[in-house]
Amino acid sequence: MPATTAEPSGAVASLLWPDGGTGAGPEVQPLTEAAARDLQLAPLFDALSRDAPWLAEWYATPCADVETVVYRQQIATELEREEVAMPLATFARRIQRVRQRADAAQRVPHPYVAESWFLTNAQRYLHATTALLEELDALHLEAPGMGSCRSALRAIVAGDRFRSLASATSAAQEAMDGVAYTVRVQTGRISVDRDHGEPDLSAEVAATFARFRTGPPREVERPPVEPGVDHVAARILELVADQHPDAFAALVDLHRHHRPLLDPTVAGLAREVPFYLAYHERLQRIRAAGLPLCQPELVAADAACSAEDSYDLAVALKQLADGKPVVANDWHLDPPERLLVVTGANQGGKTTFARAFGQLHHLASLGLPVPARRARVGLHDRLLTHFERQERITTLRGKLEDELVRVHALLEQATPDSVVFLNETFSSTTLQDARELGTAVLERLERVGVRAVFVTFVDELASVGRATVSMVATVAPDDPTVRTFRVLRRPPDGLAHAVALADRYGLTYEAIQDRSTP
Amino acid sequence: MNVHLLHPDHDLDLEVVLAQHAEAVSDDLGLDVLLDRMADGDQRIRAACRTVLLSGLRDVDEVRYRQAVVADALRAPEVFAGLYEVIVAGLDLAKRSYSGLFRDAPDAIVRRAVERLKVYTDVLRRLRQDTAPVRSRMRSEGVTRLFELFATQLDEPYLREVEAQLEELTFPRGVLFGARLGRGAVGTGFQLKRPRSQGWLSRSLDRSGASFELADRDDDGIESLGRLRDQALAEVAVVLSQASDDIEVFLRQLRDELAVLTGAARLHAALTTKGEPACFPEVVEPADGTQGAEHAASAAPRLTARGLYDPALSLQLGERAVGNDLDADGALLVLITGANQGGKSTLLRGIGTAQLLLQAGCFVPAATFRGSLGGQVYTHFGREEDQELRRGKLEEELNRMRTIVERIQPGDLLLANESFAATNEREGSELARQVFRAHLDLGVRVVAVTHLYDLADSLHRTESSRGVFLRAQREEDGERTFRIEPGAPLPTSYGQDLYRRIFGEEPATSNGLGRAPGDEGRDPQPQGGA
Repeated sequence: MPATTAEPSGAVASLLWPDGGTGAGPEVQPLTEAAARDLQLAPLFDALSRDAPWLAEWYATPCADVETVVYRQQIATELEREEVAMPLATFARRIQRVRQRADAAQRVPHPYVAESWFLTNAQRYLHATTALLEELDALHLEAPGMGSCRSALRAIVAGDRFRSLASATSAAQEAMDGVAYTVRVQTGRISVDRDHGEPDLSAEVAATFARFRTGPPREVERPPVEPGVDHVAARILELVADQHPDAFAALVDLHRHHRPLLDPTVAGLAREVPFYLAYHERLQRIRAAGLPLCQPELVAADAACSAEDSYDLAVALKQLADGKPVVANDWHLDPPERLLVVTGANQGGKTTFARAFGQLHHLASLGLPVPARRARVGLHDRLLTHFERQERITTLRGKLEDELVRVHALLEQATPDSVVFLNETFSSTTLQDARELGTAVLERLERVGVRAVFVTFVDELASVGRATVSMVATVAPDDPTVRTFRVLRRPPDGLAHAVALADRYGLTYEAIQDRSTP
Repeated sequence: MNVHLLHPDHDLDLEVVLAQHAEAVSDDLGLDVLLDRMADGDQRIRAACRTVLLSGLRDVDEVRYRQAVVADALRAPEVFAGLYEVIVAGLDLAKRSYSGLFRDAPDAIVRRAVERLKVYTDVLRRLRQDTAPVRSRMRSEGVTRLFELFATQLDEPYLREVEAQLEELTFPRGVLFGARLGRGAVGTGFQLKRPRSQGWLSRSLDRSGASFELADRDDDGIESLGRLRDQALAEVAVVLSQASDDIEVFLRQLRDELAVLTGAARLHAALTTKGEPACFPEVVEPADGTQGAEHAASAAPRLTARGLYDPALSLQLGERAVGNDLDADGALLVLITGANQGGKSTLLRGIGTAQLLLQAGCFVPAATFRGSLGGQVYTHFGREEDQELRRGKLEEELNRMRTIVERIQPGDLLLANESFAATNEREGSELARQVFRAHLDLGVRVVAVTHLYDLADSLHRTESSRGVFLRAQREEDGERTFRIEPGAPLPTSYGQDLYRRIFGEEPATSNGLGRAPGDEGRDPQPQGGA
């Protein structure tokens, strides 16, 4: 068999990119680690990529165009069908094991052992691929992406490389099956020979004593076999190979002429499958609790966008684990509206609301189902976040300078296609500074044309310019000390919450006056 | 390979739990004397014989089967006893061999099993060798079958083959096994092989192989070798330990059944050397109590004997015991009355012991005996020598009788010795009458000894159709013969004889020389008549 190089058979297919490309384009920036932490997406992505580290990059990188997003959405929807997901999950698992075993085999020092593992791996690879194709062939597939992957698999399996691997593999296995040898162990000395058909001593002994047997023969529990080959076993193996040259030649040939083992498309598909399935599985509890997930509608970056019943995914997972309820909210931005300014009670869910906004944009850009009942968003070129940092406080002035430097850097990166998230920026400065600086930043953001959410305690910022929309984290109408975690579109509350709190504790001006006057 | 000496279709079970009353029965009948003689110091024999004696057979065919086997044991008692000893010694030796190694590795298991099997092979050879000379004299189905089994299944060529294989299993030329290659070129499917016999041919074949030696301090290598051996020996270790366990089970079972036969033979020898008779009884179908009390009541128990005696008593005497004859076919009740110390209780014990021995498939202490199978044997013995008759004693007797009544079934046998003597004659008679009549109507056989005349007389008047009445004989001069003959109960128990003997004078009588009560102050009246 002539040695073949690793050339792709037919069109290269991918579950993540429609044209088999891998690029997101230089304009699109992956989500930074800091931003992923700010959005609380980091723990989720870490968990998803724990057993498959290559997924981390994909989870961090938004799609560059709507076509790619739709391509993925269709595949994600298809993979919600159990009969499609199961064979693919099995396939991905098997190929993953082949990869691991291939890595381990590299490190084995003994001759023939690596070749033997290669034979097993080849069998596993052949089986995994043909089994998947068989299952897919029996299904009706909706997503174009799935269809083209199936076609690619068909081409691979029918191709010369795959077929010659299959026949060389079965020849090598047959040859090895025919190897029967004997070992004689004496003190410190081992002899190896071909099997000359010497009689089975255990069977002879059993026959001799059969006349005394009263019940069924006892089960034999074999001692566990040590994995791997120690140096004695390796030496025995060498002698066996000497005595069965033809069989081992077939084994060695297989190894020599069929590397690398995996077709790159097959390997690629196996890596891509968990991108969808791991996410899907992680959201099992979400679905079980009846929380909505949907495929968002993709629009232009400057078009109207909205979401109904959107919620913070990370908070939801935690709340469900603790048996607590999850609150969802709505928002919409109709141009010229571009900037959500979120004010209201402390700890009232402002940041959670804003995170949900950010998460939704990022997950939508990956082509995965988003945490909302309905959503309509545009893609972005970068998602920039600024959270108030607690570290390195020296003087009030030092902190402010620090913040401004960072905000400036952020604004320098912002383009009309970007999404920005500012959380309690300027919150630990004086009210006057916060108001002035906040206004300046908002005007700048309006000029650039980004979509943004700004969480602040400065109510006045909610009315800066035409692009801002005021959202308020509300309190219960009958008891203003109770937070609802509902964030609604309305003018700022002013000091309503603070007043209500004071009133309840008897700390309003009037109440104190009344107390001190006899 | 089965023993099946004492039962035609299964092995003896010494773990069977004896009924609660068995202890009392054993005490009352004085079985310890018999058991001690049978055991002659061997506790295992004693225990085995006790269990067999106190748990009777229920099927006539089984009884006949076992009688035949016992008869064979009596034909060659030294062979049976000898085999018993050989097996006991062999089992002990096997247990002690190689007990030092407690590892559970196949290696160690094989060595232990081979040691045991070597000991057992010697025992098996003795089984065949020692029984061969007497095979032709054996008549019973059980013994004939077993000895033939020894002759055919344990013949010399077979035992030599076993020994050769055991030798092979010490692996003098190393452990040889076959294997194939599994995944990762790891050896798999290990199969232990027997090397072809040494010879020039195999030596040249040896050269077709290749070998290597381990370096001197290669500890890892030695460990590797150990693992290879364990893999190779895993299967044969299980086979061998199962084989040695199977043989051990067989030998233990044989030992236990031989223990019983050895005990029986010893008892037989002890009695016959004294000149006492012992015969295998003719056994007929039992009264079938399972078909209800009515049927049981009309069923006919059999009991006919000549020269019946109490073997326990005989073993304790220097001379022979007195034998008695019985004709009690069809009798549910046998009532024995008569002179004190006239042998009544002895006869009762003799009947009870004979019934137990009959139901155990053994010989009985008589010249001839024909009986039927009953169920359980119950005893209710008063304290006949105890003159302290207190109220408390009566309650104790009543309780004991109640316990019996709760368990007794139609077809069973009740042996009552001076029941309810712990109160006055009127009360005791009434109690006993109630109890005995009830049992008879239930279809329970009652053999009773009593000196309560009221009881005996009333039973004699009402139960003659289904009862036999015996009386301890008394010579004219008051000497006891210990013979019990058929006879109606008499109003006196010959206490006068005792008085005469002990006091050396005549007891006072109403027509004698003494004063009657109420006659104080009056002259003795001369006797009317001559």
